[in-house]
Amino acid sequence: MRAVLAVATMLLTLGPPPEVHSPASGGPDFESASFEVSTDPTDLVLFLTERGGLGNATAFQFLLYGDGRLVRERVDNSNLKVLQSEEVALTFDETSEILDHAVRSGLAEFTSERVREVVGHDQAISVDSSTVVLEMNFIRYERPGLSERAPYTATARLTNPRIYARAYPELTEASALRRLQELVANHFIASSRSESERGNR
Amino acid sequence: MKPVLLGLLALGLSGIAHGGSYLQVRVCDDNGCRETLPVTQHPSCPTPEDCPITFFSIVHPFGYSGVENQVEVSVCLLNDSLELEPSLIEAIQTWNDLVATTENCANCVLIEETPPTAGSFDSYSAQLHELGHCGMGLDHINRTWDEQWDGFFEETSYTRSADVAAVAGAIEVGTDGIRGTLDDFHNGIQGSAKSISWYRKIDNNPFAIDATVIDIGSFDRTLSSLPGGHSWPASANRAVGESLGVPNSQSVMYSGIAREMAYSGLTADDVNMVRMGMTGADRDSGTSDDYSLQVVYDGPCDGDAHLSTISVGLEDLSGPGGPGPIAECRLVRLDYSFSVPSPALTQHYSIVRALGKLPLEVRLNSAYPWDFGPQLFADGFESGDLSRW
Repeated sequence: MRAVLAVATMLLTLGPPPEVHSPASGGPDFESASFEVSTDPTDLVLFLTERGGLGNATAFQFLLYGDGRLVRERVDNSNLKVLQSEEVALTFDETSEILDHAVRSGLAEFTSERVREVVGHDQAISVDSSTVVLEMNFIRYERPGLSERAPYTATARLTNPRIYARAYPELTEASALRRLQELVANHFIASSRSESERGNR
Repeated sequence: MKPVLLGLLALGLSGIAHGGSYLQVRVCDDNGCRETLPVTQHPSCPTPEDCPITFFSIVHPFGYSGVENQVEVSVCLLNDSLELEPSLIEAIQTWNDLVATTENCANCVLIEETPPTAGSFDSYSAQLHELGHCGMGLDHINRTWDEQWDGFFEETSYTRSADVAAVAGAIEVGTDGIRGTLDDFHNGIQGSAKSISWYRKIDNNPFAIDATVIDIGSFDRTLSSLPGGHSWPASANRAVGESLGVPNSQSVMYSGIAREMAYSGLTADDVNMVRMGMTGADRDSGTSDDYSLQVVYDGPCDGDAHLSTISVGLEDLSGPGGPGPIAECRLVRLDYSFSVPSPALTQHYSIVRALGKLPLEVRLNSAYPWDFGPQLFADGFESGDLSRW
């Protein structure tokens, strides 16, 4: 398995970093986190989906592999059967942008404990809403104050991040999760469009 | 805003019939998502772990603090969503009337069945369901379950329960093969599953309509009061109704609404859960601590949504992850608390909100097609089902 070292400080292409709970605010220094992910085409690096919700029959799930392949699957929400699958190839920079955003915003360490810390409890604050699920697989992950974890699988789940972001702006991971969804979806759409244009020439 | 009183519930009258659960909460963490109990925020409780939280709690509407004999829940409608007004008024009226019916669900689709992919969603049905959460403090009658063994709990038609581990055989459907019936059994790794659905002791029938008084004498959530031969509380999903000879009937608090599906009223289960709450702290009907409940329509919010208990409106809930839920009840900056720090009320919670924060919000997803009209015929006629004509 080949590996690529992605240092969080060298690949930022999003402009100013998102405001996260940072050392200045007494939180962990996610900006200085470093990580390695596999570049093996068969290794799943990131999985992102939004499941559940009243009457929500279908959902998208995104699977990002080590070689930059991004697969978008439309699944039946009741049995997770894949109804449709499409695939694009992301560039190294695009892949890094996605992973960088997730790591820098603290999503690689986001747990219900963090929700409890900010909100006072770890309950969902809305009923019938869908839940965003993020999983990331690292060969190695570390940051100041946190000893190296190798390998490391991170899982983050949050029901209705949009409402958390509105009600608890200090829970910066909520808006970061939403932004990650947009980032992944936008890269998929843009790559899909450019591949389609190339095919038409 | 002009308050409109749509109905007044009689105080502690005899009830009608049974099975359902009060608002629980879903917690998602590294181990997946699971149902859990509300956490008290009462100042007398240093941490939730210090307080004797019980599974047999009742969640009361906003405004109940343990001493009221009359509780009012007010609802306003966002000014950009006035097309919802007829169906919202109808939904409010339905909760105020608290009349139990059967054959209340046209084109009913269970979660395990394939829903139609064309057609519209019924706004009355969605608002009735969400007001059941945000207004009445009710939860779904059915439970989530990790059917795919992926660490994520999907909706199912099994009766709502708690602490069922995601292991093979932890929920048994029983010999009838129908999820939610009296012969189901919820286990757990070491038999830790808890029944959190209320049922009628005499027959465990969530559709039964009669003159039985609804209170702690006739209603229970512990398995010990089940009739002989019953292994789990039955819940009011459509298939259970069919097995009991009550077709096209389903609790409005079932966690599935499909296109072309339309409720025309409440089942006994929906009514009884609200009536049980109205018995007050002692859970005994006909005593001085009973309360009545009014849902009042305030009209358009006019920018003063915070003046009403609940704001209702349309909003695009779709996003990169898909179309999103068809509707949701937001308990933004809300929590549950012991209504009053007295021993009698340690089994009670009420919906509360922090001062100056947003009201409860019911939102219907504008990304979906909606039928806004009041249901003139809720038996399928409007969607082309003439089987009952």
